[in-house]
Amino acid sequence: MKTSKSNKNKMLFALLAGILYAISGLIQIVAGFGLEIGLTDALFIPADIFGGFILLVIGSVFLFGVKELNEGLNEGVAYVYVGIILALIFAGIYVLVIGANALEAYVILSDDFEGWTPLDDMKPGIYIAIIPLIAYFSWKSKMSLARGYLDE
Amino acid sequence: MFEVLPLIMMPEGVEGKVVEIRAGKGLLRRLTEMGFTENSVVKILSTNRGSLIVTINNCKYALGKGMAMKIMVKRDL
Amino acid sequence: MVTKKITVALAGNPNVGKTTIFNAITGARQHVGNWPGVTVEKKIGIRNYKDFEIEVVDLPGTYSLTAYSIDEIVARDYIIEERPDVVVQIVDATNLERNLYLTTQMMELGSKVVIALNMSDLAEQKGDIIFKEKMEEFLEIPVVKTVGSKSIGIDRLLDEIIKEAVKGPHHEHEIGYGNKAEKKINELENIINNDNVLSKKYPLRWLSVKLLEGDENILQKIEGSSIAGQVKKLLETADLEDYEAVMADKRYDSINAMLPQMCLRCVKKLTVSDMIDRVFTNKYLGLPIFLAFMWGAFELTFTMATPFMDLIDIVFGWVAGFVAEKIEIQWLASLIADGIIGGVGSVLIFVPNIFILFFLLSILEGSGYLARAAFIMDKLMYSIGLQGKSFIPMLMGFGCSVPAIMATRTIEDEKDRLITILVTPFMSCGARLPVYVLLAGTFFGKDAGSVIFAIYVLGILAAIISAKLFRNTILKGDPAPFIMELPPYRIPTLKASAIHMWDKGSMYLKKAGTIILFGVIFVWLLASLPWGVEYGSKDSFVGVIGHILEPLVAPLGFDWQIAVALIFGFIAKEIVVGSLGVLYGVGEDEEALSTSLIDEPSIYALNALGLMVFTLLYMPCVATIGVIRKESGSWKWTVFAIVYSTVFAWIMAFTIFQAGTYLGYGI
Repeated sequence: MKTSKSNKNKMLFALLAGILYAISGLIQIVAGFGLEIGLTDALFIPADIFGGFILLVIGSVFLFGVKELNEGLNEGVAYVYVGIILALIFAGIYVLVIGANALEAYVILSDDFEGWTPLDDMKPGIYIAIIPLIAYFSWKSKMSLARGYLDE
Repeated sequence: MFEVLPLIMMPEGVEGKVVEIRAGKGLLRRLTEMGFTENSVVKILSTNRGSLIVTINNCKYALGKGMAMKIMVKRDL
Repeated sequence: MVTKKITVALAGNPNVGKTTIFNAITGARQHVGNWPGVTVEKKIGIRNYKDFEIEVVDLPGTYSLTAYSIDEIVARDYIIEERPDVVVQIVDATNLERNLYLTTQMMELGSKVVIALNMSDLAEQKGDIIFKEKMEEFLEIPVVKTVGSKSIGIDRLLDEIIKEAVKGPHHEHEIGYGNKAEKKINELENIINNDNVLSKKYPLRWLSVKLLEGDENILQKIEGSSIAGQVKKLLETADLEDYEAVMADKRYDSINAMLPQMCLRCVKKLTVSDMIDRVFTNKYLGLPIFLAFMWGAFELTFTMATPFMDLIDIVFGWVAGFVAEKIEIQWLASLIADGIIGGVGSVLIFVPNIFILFFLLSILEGSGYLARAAFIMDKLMYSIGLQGKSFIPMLMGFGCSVPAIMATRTIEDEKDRLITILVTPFMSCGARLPVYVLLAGTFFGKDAGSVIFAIYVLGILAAIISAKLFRNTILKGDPAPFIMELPPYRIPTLKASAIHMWDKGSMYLKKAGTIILFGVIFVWLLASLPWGVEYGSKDSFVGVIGHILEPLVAPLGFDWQIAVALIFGFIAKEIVVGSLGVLYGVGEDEEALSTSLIDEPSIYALNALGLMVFTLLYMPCVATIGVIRKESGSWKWTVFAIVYSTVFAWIMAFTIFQAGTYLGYGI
């Protein structure tokens, strides 16, 4: 079975997103176990095993899509779309967490949040999501649940 | 040669004759009112998820698959 | 060598290659006769394979197992009455959907089924891609690809047959017929269960389903039994014609939900829901994605709730202070400030948590994901004697047992539901955490994190052990088969989720307003009476009770103050911390409490560990008991829950303290 051109684009996108998510997830897990990797501060990578696990899951979904598309299974696009949705959902969760913490720091003036800035909660789960966000807007019409069927 | 099979098992676009409706009284009456009587000619236009579109006596109906299981038709081989 | 005998029935639609498979298995050793009383041909063949003598009976080819043709009745009666060890259904791989209808009926008969996916070479030529593993996963039936005409896959089929035959009872997915029909099925099951003859001879659910479908043949079978009259009466009130069609449709609905996952090209177009399910029920990704969602929900619940909890804390603190200052009559000020405001406040503080958790769960439910989550967890839960749907309440139990127990409503099976209700309180709820934080932080220093984690694990183990125990003793039976229903995905609306959240959350609020208020005043009275004693001192009633209870808790290494703190903990478990503060005379400031606990000779690492374990396991708080009563609908089970958990807690704390002392970890 031949891979159509639009599927090829999706495959390349999923490959990029998959690798980015999987790697930053792995770094986050490694850092969570206490091993320091030089980049963690510069890239806002927190030492967070669970957070890393989530990024790894999102990455794996994308990479699964790459695998199926590569085998010529058009249905592999499902993984790409779901990967995009997952990436956006979790980015949304992280943004809400920042919001809640901002409330603590600026409104409640809680002691635990003295000197907190939004950058403290910046993480790859937020900024890498820009890539799937762009993808979402360019393929938005194809991802609607209301359409009922996915043709491509 | 012919075989008798539930309507649901009929391939699309092939004509068959109703031989029996294996349903209780109420369902039987409903189907009879729709035109599913013995020897009437029935054809599946398309199968969809959940239901199928059939023509019987030139009328088109959407039929639940469960119901279509209960209509036995005869087709020539 | 001893050969063991296995009987196998071959079933399947007409023209699926049943005869070729039969010949391929048995070769020349066949015997042809008639089924008793009818002119339907009966073929029996024998095959020796490995240590087994396999008798193969070829059933007439049928499209379904209703009672409208002799073929169907013969096939059906053989399976039910002769009970072959294994039923092999030959499935035409080129026409999966139509063949699966029979499969769903076989499953209902409760027989062990092995699917021979015949003509799989033709299907592959046609371009169908059938995922054998997915089929096995969805149906919980072993599947073997065969090509009867070339004798391919026959040995593997025989291997699977033997494996199934020697295997113990099995677990299967079943068709759900929707609430209305399920209710009637349940009622019928209860009636039939009273008849010893029928309930032994026939699968209960199957019999009820057939009765509801108005199956004449089955009606004849129950004629003359002790419950015939009752069944008839029940059936008269139901519109059977309706059920008959609806139930047949439901079988197709279930097949349609599974089909696109098992075979990509078998449906013309995959819906978006099918596509999403390919990812969410993926063998490798399904569970991790589910865990990720759960983690996200909890992360969101706790961080989003924190500012609101702080706010509530501030408001209540302020109000309590204000009251204490303004009200001159001292006992009244104490009642309102210490008792009512303090007590209700400590419960209300969880309202943001509960509302947010409910909101997120409504979103997951409304989107259709929760049904998939139950599916993903089903296998795991079955191994501990519960079903997939029990997982959600148990998970919610980490937040608060009250909404968790309310969430058991989605479990239809009474026994499954009751067991879930009974074990859910063992999942360590948020209110218990402050107790661990204080005690572990004080006595275990840098190992505090590991100790707390171990306590959580102990809670999970307690739930698992109890579930197994109940399943094997007081609530015998197998968990109900998980019912296959995968509603299409939808984008949940904000409004519906908000309404759902309010419905559930306000129930909790009402409880905080009634039962808890009552309990709080009660405990306050115990702590303040008789007149003039210091609040919670050893002369107060609660002190007296503490002293009475002391001999009971002494083997656990607890003194009367701890006994009193545990009584207070009955209102809400986090109160244990505050009460210890009051009782050891330092107030509720945690740091001061921590240092004073170190100096306190009557509490030390070993009995602190015991206290944490006891707090984890002993009787649920008053709000939880309230919902257990409401959800189980019986005081008997409520009392049982209280006694069981307290005894369990006592035994665990006793073991820890005595073993620890023996090993020299005492003072």
